[in-house]
Amino acid sequence: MQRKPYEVFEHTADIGISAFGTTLAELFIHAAQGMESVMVAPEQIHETMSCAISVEGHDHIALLISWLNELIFLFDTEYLLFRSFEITAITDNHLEGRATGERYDRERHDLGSAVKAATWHEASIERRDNGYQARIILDL
Amino acid sequence: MGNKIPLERVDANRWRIPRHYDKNMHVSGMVYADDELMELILGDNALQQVANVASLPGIVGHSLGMPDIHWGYGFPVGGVAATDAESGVISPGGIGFDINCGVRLLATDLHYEQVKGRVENLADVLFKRIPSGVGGDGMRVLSRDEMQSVMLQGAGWAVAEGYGVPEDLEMTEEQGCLQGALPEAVSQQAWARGRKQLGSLGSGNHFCEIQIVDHIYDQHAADTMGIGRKGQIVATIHCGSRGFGHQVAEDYIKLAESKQKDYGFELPDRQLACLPLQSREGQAYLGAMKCAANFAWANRQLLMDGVRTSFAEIFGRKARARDLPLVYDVCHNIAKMEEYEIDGEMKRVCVHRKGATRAFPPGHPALPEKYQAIGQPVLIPGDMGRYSFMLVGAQGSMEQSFGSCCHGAGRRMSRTAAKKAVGSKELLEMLEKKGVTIRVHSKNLLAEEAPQAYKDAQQVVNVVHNAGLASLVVRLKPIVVVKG
Repeated sequence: MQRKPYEVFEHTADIGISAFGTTLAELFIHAAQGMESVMVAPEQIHETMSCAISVEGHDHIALLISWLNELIFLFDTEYLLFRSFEITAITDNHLEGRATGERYDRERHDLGSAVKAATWHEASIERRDNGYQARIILDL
Repeated sequence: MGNKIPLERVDANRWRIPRHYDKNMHVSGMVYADDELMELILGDNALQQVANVASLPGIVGHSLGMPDIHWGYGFPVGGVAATDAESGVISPGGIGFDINCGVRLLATDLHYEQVKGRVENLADVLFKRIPSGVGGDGMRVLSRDEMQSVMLQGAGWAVAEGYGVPEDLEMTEEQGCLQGALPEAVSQQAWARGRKQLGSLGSGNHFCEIQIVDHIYDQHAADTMGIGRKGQIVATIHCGSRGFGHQVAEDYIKLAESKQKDYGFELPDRQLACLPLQSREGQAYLGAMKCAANFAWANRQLLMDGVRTSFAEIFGRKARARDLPLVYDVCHNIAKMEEYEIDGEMKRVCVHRKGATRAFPPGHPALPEKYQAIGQPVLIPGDMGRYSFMLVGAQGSMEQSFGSCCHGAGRRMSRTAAKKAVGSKELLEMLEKKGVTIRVHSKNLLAEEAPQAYKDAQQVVNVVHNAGLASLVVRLKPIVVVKG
């Protein structure tokens, strides 16, 4: 059976995403899609501009949290929402990628929740037979 | 979930989590709740988090849970932990993402009778003057120099810029500025996030509310605060350091997490990652946290100016501090270096208040002269449909809880569950029936904050009152709510 790229789950504090990927790069892309979907449904986001992203982390979880937090940073400072992602290089401690989307528009985008941070609480990345599974709880 | 944890009843309002529950606990846990609240608390894993916090190196006294406690990240929301200033640690997650999230209340000399015909108008003006929601700039976009001044001077910077009067500073915890802020310990990303957000509410549970004094428990204390008339109009602002504080928290949680092995720390939750207080990194976090705390005080000062100006626009007042004086401003996500008697000895500790309010008793040297006789005003916002409370700190807080008490009603439903439980249209109608006028940017976000998503704040404040941590002064009912 085809695994879902991501799912959003409920948590007493807030909300979480679980993501699946056959490779680490795919896992990171799906996690980013999951997080953006908590804010605005992907079909509402036009792909009009893109940003290069480069982050560091001391392990895979640190790298994933940094990647998600970088997207939140771009939403918080430039009001950017993203729909598609590309990862050009990924190692244990470093990631280079690109996110494509557009500026948030109060009139056109139906904001579900405003994500403020990706947290370390119960954060996990597990190696599965056919890929990787990650769980991240988001601060709203 | 939480019911695996052994709980020993201490008295009607306190429960102990014994140290033997988990070998990693250095101290026992102490949770404040009556029977009904304990039922709710057992519904999530907050008690396990109280136990987890007890494993922080250098923790002293108890790992404390206030009656509004609920599951947070690492630390529970509604948690208090004090660590030894010399041998202990500071945990950035134990302060939280929204550094110096807090509440301030200002009084007016208006009575509900004078306001009731203009409530809609007032709501519109507040909504226009107070930036809220996501995707917009704050009241003031800062240059680099200005940003640095905000970090170093806090609310004092705002007053010098004309947002308020010097008397406001006296009525603010720490006079609206923590000394020893280190802008050089703040990342470029945090600078970038803070620059455009000063003077904005943001989203989530932050709000500006116009309330009426609905019930008076302690007339003398209420009169001292200038809120002693039933039907009197007051305004409450709940907000923090916005994206700036979040970035500082993120940066230092990540740094602490990468150093846990070096320091030989093994904590049960990665979000608890901590730094020795006396280490270079621990001091850098403390200095950066102070920058964010000061930013938050300046932010609430600007927002308050927006409220004063709105009242002036509607009621033709000049909105001088004398007409709308600040009663008090408290923070509820912060770490403070304070001194307490522990086992008969005075000890300097770092008090982490994660969703907990300072509640100093009468006579405490940190209080302004005005409140020396009654104790520190303690503002406890409830939910937007029922009520909020003003209390004053009591002697018990010094003996039991490192000068702390609860901070709000506390969630009983996740944000997702709240949205499922009540539709935004239904919620707006329900609030309207209760006489609450709402102005909000995102109706989806409003449902996350539905009254039924919260515990009953009255039950929560009754516990801290009965436990002797703080005592009730007035109850406030909302009439206007402005949110993101």
